[in-house]
Amino acid sequence: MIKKMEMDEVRLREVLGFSCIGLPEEEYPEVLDRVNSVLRMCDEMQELDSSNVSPFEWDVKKAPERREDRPVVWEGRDHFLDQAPVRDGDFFHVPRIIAIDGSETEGDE
Amino acid sequence: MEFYKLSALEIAEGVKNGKWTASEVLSAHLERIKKYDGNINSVVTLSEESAQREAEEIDRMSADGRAQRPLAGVPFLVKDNFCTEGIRTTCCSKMLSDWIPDYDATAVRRMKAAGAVLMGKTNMDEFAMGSTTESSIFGPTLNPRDFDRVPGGSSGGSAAAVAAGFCPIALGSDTGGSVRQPSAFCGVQGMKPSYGQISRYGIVAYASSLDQVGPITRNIGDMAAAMEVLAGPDSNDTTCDAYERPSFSEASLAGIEGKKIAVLTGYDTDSMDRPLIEAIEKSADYCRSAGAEIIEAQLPITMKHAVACYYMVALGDASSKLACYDGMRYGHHAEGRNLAEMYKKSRNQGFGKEVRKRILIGTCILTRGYYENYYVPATKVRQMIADEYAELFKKVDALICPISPALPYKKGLVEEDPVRIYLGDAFSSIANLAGLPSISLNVGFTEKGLPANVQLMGPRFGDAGLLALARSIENKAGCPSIAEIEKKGECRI
Repeated sequence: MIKKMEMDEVRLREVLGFSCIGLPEEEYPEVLDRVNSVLRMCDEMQELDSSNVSPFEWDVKKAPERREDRPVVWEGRDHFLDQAPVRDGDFFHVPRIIAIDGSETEGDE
Repeated sequence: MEFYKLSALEIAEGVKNGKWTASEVLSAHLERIKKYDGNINSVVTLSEESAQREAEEIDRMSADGRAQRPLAGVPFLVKDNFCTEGIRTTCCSKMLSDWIPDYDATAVRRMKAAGAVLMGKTNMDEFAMGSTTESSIFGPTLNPRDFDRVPGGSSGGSAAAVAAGFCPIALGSDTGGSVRQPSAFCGVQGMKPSYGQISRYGIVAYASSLDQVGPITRNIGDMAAAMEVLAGPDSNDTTCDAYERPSFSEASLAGIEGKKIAVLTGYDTDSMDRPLIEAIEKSADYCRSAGAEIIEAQLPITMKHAVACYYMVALGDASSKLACYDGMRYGHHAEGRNLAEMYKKSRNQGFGKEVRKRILIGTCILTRGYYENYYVPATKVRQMIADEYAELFKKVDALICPISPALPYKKGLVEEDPVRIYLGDAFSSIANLAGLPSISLNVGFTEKGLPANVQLMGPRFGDAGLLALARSIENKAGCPSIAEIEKKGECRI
C-alpha cells in the first residue's frame, strides 16, 4: 500500500545526519517546504498501477568485453604523489581524523 | 581570415590540405575569447600553453603529410566536469576548486586523437545541478544572444561559447537536458546521444543512470563528425555498448523521404511561448516537403509523470554519487574536532546551497518509508515511460516536440520562481529517463533575436537516423549564425 508522506523536523534532523550536511535551524522551514513540495509533485506518480512492472534497468545491445583479470604493470606512482597536498617521501601526508584515547583532535596533521 | 566563422569540417579540411595551420586557427580563436569573453564568462580555464603544443604537433604532422585526422586542428572546449590531464577540473564548485586530474576523460582523449585541440574548460552550474549556469563559483554565464538572459544550463558555458564563435565544437554532459536546453537558449545545435553510445569515463557524475556526453555545434555536419569521433565502446565504462556503430556522417546524408514522423500533442500549449509552438509547426512542414509523413502522437504517462520521476531518480542517484566528497576521500577539506564534524564542515563549505538541498532531498527519498513509497515507484514509472516510447517507435521513425516550454529566461528567475525552472525539464528529461537520442535543433529566431529550437527524438541507438532528420530540417531552415557579441564592445579577460 503506497502512502503519501510528509517530512517533519525530526526526520529532517535524521536526514541531515545521514547526508553529513549541516543546516542552521532558521533554514529548516524553507528546506522542509522545498522537500515537501517535491514530494507533493511526486504523489500523482503513485496513482499509477505499477504492480506488474519491474523497476527500470538498461538493456544492452552488445555487452562490452571485460578486461582480463591480471595484474598490470603501472609506473604512475610518482605522478600521483606529486599531486598530494603534503607529500612525505613515498606517502601522502593526510590530516589526522581519528581521536586518540577518546580526546578530540585539533585537526592537526 | 575570419577563422571563427568556419565550421569544424572546413577548419580540418584547410589544415589537412595546407591552406592554413592549426596554430593560426588556434590563435584566432584564443584571441576572440580573450577579447570578448569578459562580457559572457563562458570559459573558466584557458589552457593556452598545452593548446599551442597540441596545435604545433598537428602542424608538424601536417607538414609530413600525417595530419589526415577527421578533426585536424579544430579548437574545442569542454565543460568543467570532464577530467582533463594537467588542467583543473572544478565542476565550478569550491569542493573541487584546486583539483587537477591525471588523465583525460575518454571523450576528451578521443577528440584529441582525432586531431582536435583542447583550448580549455567551460562554465556550468555547480556539479551540473541547474538550468541557468548561475550557480557557478566563477559567476554566471550570460547569453550571447541577449546579455540580459541566461544561457540555460547546466552546460551553459559550452553552448554560449559555440554561439559566440569561440569554438565550432564544445562538449557538455546531459542528465536531464543539460546539453539540449542551453543549446536551445543560445541558438545552436546540441545532441544527447543514446545512453551507452559515448563513454562516460572521466566525467564527474551527477546521476550515472541518466548522464550522457553530448556535442554542441553550429551545424549538423559538425555534429555528425563529432559523433563519429566520440561514439564507441570503452573498456573503462561497462555501460558503453559494444555494438558496431554506423558512419554517422554518411548516415546523416540519407534524407527522410518515406519516413513517418510524429508530432507530440496532448500537452498544455497555452503555457508555452508562442514562437516555440510555431517552430514545431515549421519543422513539421519542412519534413513534409522533404518527403516524410507527419502524424500526431500522445504520450499520456510521460507527459504527466516524467518530471516527478526524473527528480526522484536523479536526486536519489546524486545523493549517493556525491557522498564521496567528504573532505577526506575527495574534495575540499575543513578541519574538525572529530570525524563527523570534519565531514559536515567540509561538505557545508565545499558545496553550494542548491547542491546541498538536492543532496538532502535525494538522501530523504532513499531513507526508509520514502524509498518504498517514492523511489521504487519512480523506477517502475521510468520503465513505463520507456515502454511508452518503445511502442511509439514501433509505429514511427522519430518524434518532434518542444525542448523547453519557454524562450531563454531573464537573469535571476531561479530565485524568483524555482518551480517554473523545475517544470522546464518536462520535455528534456524524457530522453534521459528512456535512454533515447535527442537533438535540440535551431530552426530560426524571433523578431527580438531569441532562438527557437525544437527537440527531435528517436529510438534507442537510432542516433544516425536522428542526425539525418536534423540535417533534412536544417537544410530547409538554415544553420544558426554566430551571435553578434561585437555589438557590446570588447571586454578582455
